[in-house]
Amino acid sequence: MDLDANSFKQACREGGRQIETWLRVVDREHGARFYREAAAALRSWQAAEDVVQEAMVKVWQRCATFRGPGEPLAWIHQIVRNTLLDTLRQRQAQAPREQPLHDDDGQLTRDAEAAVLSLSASGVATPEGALAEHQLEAVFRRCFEQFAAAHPEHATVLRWVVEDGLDNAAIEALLARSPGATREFISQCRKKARPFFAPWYALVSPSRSAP
Amino acid sequence: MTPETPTAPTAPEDDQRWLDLMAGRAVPDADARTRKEAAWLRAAMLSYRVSAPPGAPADADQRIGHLLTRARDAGVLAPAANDPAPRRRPGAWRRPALAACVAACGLVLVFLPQRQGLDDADGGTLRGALVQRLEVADAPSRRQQMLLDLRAAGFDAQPFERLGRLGLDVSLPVPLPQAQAAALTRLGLAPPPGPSLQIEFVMPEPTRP
Repeated sequence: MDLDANSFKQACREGGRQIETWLRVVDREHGARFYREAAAALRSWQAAEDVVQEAMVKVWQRCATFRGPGEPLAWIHQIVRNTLLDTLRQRQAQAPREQPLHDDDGQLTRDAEAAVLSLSASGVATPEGALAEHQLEAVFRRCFEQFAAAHPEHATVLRWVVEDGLDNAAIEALLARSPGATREFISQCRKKARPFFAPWYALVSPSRSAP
Repeated sequence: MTPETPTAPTAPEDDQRWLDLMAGRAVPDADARTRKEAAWLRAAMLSYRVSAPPGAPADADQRIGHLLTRARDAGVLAPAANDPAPRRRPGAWRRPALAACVAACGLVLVFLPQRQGLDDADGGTLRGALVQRLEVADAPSRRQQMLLDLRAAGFDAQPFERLGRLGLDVSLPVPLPQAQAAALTRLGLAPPPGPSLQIEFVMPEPTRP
């Protein structure tokens, strides 16, 4: 079965067996990618299955709004990511509030900046030669996990920016925000990421080769 | 200087350059500090990709089963034919079938005059198998009115314009509840079998002299 725009639109109009076939084929041929991406962000396969399947249902509830001639799979992937971001936002809204790291202008608070400098100083003091690659990796992963735990939406979008080269228009579509709000989100990504990666930045120095 | 501890305030345009660098795009006018901050973080994020937790998705058959059940519950797919239904005694099917026939005839009798009136006013309705086209003299205002009517009737309708044609996309549950089918019929539309309805508003063909 071709997963092309014509077949998608026809299934959308006719429903029934055609939608069921699409659901089966997309899950079989592309599900692994969607489930893996969601599981990486949610840290749970069960939650990932829930999100991806919720997205698959949304796809067919909204199928009439699909505009070709682009690939329906790209559109489906975007809905999976939208749903994933919604879930991350909901989780964060339910999580206990943490001490803010930034003031209203988006700059580090005095306490946060002091903590960053302190962590950086302790990192720099570590003998550089003793740091094996896997130690750097471990520090980076810990930094990223903490960033993702505190700002799951920003961390996830930043990961997609790096891995898929998303531009502003793609981020805008993912977040369903205006261009201005998207630019603000981008600034927030950088500001929110900085303090979490400070310990790792402190360990990598210009004299080392880039990872 | 190291790329570490970037705590200096940033300007929005610099943040944009940072994002473009993070995405792997060339930004010739980015300053050295931003370039370094982004390059190191990007390289690390690519090298140490976040992987899925240990484990795997559920077994494919089980997963598909969940997905189809969910799609049925959401009204995207019709209920499965083997869904448990109350047992009836032999011959008992005749009564509901008769009632359904009577109801269908009633609907036709009640709504046919309204549809005819609407079609006449709009210059006729062309119903293709795939897209329902309404021939109207003033497509923008007719579409707007239809959009309001559909939304007022509780439908999720979205306007579109494609190749100069104005239209509406309507998302529908499957199976379509009788009340919603009746509402579509009242508006001069044929309830479709699938979860979507596309309506196009077209100008009548000019009559030849």
